[in-house]
Amino acid sequence: MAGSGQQVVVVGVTKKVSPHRQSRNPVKPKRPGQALLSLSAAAMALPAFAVNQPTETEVAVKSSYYEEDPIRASEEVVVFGDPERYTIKVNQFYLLKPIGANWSLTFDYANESMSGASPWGAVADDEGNQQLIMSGASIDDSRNKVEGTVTRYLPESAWSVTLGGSREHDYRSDYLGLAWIQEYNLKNTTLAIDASYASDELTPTDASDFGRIEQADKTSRSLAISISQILSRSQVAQVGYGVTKRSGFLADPYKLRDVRPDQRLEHRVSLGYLQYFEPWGARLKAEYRYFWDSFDIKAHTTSVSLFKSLGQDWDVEPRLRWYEQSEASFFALGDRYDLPLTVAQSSDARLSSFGAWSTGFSINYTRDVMKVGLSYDRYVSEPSAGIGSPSGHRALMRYELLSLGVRFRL
Amino acid sequence: MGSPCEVWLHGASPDLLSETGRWAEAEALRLEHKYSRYRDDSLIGRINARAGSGSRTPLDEESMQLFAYADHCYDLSGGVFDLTSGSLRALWHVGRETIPSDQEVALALRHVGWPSVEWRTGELRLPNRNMAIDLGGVVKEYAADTIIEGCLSRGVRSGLVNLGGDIRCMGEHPEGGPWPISVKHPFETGALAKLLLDHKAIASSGGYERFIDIDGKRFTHIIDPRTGWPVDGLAAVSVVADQAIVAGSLATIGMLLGVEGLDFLNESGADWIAVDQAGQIHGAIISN
Repeated sequence: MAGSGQQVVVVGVTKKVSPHRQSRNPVKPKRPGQALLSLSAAAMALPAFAVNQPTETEVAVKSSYYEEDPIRASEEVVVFGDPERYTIKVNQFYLLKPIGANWSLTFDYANESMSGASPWGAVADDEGNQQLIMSGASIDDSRNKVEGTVTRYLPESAWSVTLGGSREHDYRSDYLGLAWIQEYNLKNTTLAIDASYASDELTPTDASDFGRIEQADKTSRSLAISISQILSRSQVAQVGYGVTKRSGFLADPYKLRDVRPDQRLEHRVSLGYLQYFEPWGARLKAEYRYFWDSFDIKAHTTSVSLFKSLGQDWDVEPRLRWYEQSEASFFALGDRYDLPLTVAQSSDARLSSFGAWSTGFSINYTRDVMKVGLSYDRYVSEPSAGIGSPSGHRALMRYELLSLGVRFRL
Repeated sequence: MGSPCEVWLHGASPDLLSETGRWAEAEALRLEHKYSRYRDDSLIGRINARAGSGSRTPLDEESMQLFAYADHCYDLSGGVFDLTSGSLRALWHVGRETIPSDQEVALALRHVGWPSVEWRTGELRLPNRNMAIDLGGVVKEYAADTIIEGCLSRGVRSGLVNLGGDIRCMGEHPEGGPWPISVKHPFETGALAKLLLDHKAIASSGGYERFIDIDGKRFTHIIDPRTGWPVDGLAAVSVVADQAIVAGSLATIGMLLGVEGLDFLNESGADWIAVDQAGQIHGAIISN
């Protein structure tokens, strides 16, 4: 369909040239002539042909509330510390401003305040069951993040540069991103390439009191490529690959015992599909992603969402996601103090084998230049549902996330 | 834009379609308000009001690119595509009773001449008090391109834009397949040609009878800016190209070149069809 055989076909000419009055200029076989090519090239410099260029300023604010479930039950599981987990409140501000006909600028600011306890360590009892040591008093922390992106729009492509940084009292991160989009086939095919570099510094609190490292650095480098193809008027497919290399201090400095390799290489491939259902004003989105890394973790993510418009002003989007991962090669259910500090080990739940369900929905109301959105997500992880034999971690997360946001187009 | 305009969009998501439709309408109005020569507050209105005063009007990126494009058309057409030629209409106005003298024509030509317009610095100055710029035709076609490209960027992939006869389409007709288009015959009722448009634009120039009769002689309303005299050539030209602005410029140049227009269109590389003053059809829009 789209872009196929760009032909113009004559179905009928209603007045024929009368035979005794020959046309002075018989139609010649077509070769691209100078005038057509020359004007087409000149036209491409016009802003109309630039890629995806926004014409309106956009401002949005959003507040989110995140709360983890407390560690389930008993004193048998938590031998020390607070079973209450994290709560996080986030306030975000976003601005998109088109500049001239070929540029745009976005600015993003987020402030997070978090409090709660998190696992410091774990011990395994004689039966191989895990018992958790939680941090004592509630951790109170806040983080500020700022990010800016400049985008340049060209005929059939766009590139952008992003600079950002986040600050907490014990963590600093600065990053740079470069992105490029190229469109082909009358915008039916889009190629996107993203590269980023981040440099982080950790300065854990109370380092000397707890024997923690006082300062450490970490860097991440990423490259991702994706291709999106319009298959028909109502179908889009996408395929992507990304690789990330992390180096430096990769362990969790707050854990009683956590030693990790100083390099981690991560790969991910993804397949995505969009299907529009025209009579119902609905769109189905499905994605599958496979992840593998040098810690020996493998993970599958499958997600599905259904967007449905309800009348002129409302829309809803329920969603569902399933995640499962295998444990890292050096995962230990209980901390192993018998191993030297040169041998990798971690009882971090995020490195164990587990599966997780996430369900949620969004509701949006649009009126003129304003759009209001509410969303809710529930995430539940299960130690027995991962890849490979279950690790049996007892501090796997369950959380709820609620967000309310407003966006204005000016 | 001075003529009936319509935008047809279809696709899967109703709120995307209505949001995009609203954007398309707003965009057409934006271009109309910015480039209309009938409005005092438009860019063109302000430029023309300052003609001959020495003051310069700053140009934004979009306007710079449109003038650069028009400049390219001027070179390509050997000087007949001239944004300042509108003032010649005042010389050859309806109701005129005598044929203009050589002096009258020479005087009128002093207010015409795109090369004398200063614009390359990013600020435009019309050196002569009676000079005026008319971007009308170009902007109408540019608006069709802006709307289609903007729709594609927003994920609306099927539709048709018709701004006063300058048409550009994308994707499929609601009943499937390319868009069926009918080109009106300039003299007769019914169609000159019927075609199926697949991701292309078609623009037409002329196509209606407008003559002035002076002293028993009939003159067309298309004036050649090189000579100051009406062109004797084609009655209607339609050109097909990927972009509406390109199709429109080729059609306009074809018309302005008079009988040389047929050679120009033939060598242009585009598909075209034209009708001359005698009603004879030239060219054809043929699949290859």
